[in-house]
Amino acid sequence: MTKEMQLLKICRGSFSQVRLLHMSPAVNAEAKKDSSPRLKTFSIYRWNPDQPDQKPYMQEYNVDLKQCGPMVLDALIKIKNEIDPTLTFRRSCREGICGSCAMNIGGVNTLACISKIDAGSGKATKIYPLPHMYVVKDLVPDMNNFYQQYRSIEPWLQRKDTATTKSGEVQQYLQSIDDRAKLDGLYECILCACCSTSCPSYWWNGDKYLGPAVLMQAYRWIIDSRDDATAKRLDKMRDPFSAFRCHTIMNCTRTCPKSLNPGRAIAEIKKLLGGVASKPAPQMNPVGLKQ
Amino acid sequence: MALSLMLRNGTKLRGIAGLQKCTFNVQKTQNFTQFLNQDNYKTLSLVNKCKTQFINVAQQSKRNMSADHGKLWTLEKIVSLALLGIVPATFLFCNPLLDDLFALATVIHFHWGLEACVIDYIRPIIVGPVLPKIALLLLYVISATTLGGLLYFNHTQIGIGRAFRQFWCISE
Repeated sequence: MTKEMQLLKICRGSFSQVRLLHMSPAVNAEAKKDSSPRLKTFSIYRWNPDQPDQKPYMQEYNVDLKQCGPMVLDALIKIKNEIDPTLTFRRSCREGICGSCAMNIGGVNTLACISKIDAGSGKATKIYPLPHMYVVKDLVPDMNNFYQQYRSIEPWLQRKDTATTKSGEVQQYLQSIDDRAKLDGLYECILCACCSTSCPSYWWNGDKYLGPAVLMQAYRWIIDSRDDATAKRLDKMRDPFSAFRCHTIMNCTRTCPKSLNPGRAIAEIKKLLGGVASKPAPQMNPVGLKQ
Repeated sequence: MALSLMLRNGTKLRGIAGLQKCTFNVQKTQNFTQFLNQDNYKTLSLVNKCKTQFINVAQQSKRNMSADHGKLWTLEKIVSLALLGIVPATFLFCNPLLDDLFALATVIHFHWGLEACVIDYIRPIIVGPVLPKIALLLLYVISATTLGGLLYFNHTQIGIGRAFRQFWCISE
């Protein structure tokens, strides 16, 4: 047995060597080409608040793609580390879950960390901050209005009762699997504001129209079977601007880096507001555990 | 038409007061953004002042605009759906009732669409507080005269359905 194992070990080693030997010409050819850098130009929006007289301008940076990671954020970090430390942008998780690095890359609002560098075309990739937002510096937009709107929809579970038993012990609310499934495609939103800032209605009326991201989160709480405040939530957006400024342009759904569908959520809100649809009763009594 | 016009008008009249406040409101945020970049305690406290003002103004303007648009939205969708039937029916059975219905439905449909354009593109933030009101008034005048003209045509001339049928008789 031990002899067989030893034989297997020896064989495995030789097989891998054979494979390496087989691949070596290709690897060598790649290494020969490596001597010349594969340059890619990034044209990036610059504006510095400390020089208010200077208008915003586009600055070009050349990055060697062989020395750089595959995503646009990798290139931005490389530029900031090695070429120009004054370049300013937000980033955090570098894997598409925090929404910090939302920007307009090649004309599309997306997350820099999960959009691949377009190496195929020889053209420069243009990078702008999120469209129609006030710019704090370079690629950093002012998100205050967006967060204020998110706060205005009260994005938390609201109930008339409390989930405590007579003994003061906190209980969970019951929700059926089907009712929970209604939240799929809504709760995944990371509030990167790519959709809201791609919406012309939000560009023109961003002060009064809530925008796709906030409306989708509003719908996420409206449709939650455990939430009691549905009528209150809907009444807050009955006016002609909060939700009804949506003209079903669907830029939001097209641009969402998480492949969610804010356009559908807004349509559902409009149906609820117009009295065409109503929120179904919860399949399980949320406080069933208490009884 | 008159009913829905009044519905719309009511909303606008109540909202007009809020619109100016909203202009002011956005300008404040712009200043706010610029303030943000200075490491100065005084400006920071100013920022907080602007922020609270901003929130109050936003809430107030929202209250002023809080007319129920849901019913009007349903009506808009019903008219859009009805047009799918009314348009072919007017050309198939040329009768005065359908002609009037066609005139009413198309004019109100156009009016709602153009009103959205006016509100979106002629904003107080861009063109000042007076021009949007003039544009909206102009739109109402255009819609009303169009409707009047079409109804007049229906009742004193051959009517919309027959008039369109005559396109096929041009060569004869």
